[in-house]
Amino acid sequence: MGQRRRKDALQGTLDLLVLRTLRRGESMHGYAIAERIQQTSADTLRVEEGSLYPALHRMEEAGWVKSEWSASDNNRRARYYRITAQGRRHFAGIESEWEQHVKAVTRVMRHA
Amino acid sequence: VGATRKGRDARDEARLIVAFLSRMSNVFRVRALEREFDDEVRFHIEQRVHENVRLGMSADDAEKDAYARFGSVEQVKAGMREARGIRFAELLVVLMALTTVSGAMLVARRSPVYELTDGVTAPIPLTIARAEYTPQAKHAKVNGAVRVRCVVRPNGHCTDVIVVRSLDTRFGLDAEAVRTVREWRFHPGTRDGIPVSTRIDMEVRFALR
Repeated sequence: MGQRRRKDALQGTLDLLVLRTLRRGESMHGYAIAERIQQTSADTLRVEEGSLYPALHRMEEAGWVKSEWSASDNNRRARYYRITAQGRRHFAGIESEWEQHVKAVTRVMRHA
Repeated sequence: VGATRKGRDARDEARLIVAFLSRMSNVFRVRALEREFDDEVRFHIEQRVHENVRLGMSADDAEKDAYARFGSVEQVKAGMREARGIRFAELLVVLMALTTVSGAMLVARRSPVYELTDGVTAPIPLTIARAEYTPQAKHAKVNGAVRVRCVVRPNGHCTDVIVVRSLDTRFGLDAEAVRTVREWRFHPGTRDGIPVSTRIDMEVRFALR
């Protein structure tokens, strides 16, 4: 049970980070998404890079992202992901949930 | 009475054919997805290796680092399958049932073994057992790969497993590679869409982290 909840929380965070990264509307392959998340978090968020892929496939099944194969910068075939309208709505929801959560924790840390 | 029975038989047959076709189309969908999973993972790892080399790593270190950062490839692929709703245990049962029911398994025993160059599709590993170090091999710090050759039968099992390039006969890694490969299950190679026996070579890697 505890482990299940931890897994859900981890998945939720990964969804948030991926959707945030894709929100600008660019199409990106998994490698670029992983790089962007690592760089913008100044390397503090370092998940195993592979764990991104089950998340991306799950998110595509949920309709939040859409993928297609095309040629990469170095002319290799790569799978590119882009956010969908449904994905943007979902992101707005989980982003505000996240902000409330952070605010609540911050309050407790200050006053408790 | 005879006419209705005939009608029912025809309907049953039609239903069987539809069930068969939908199973086969599922097999093809799964195969296509498997290939995409492989391509996607390979692209990621190659990008990382490329970047590592650009940063000055040796090719060997670059590859090691890329795999370490990626995590377990098999686990990632299992995660992708789960996300796409592919239940391999079921698929395997379907495949085995198909080959058993059609009697293909019996025929296959006596029928020829194809090489991959004979216009057959390559078998795809579905479940992969992990090769474990023996304590002695770990102690002796043996690293490398055992090349094994086997025949993948239409029922997805490996038979006739032999070592074609040995890594270690002293500490048991060759034997471990053979044992592991016997546990693997495959989606069999096919010729004109029909599962056949194919001879393949595989590498079982042993790397100390």
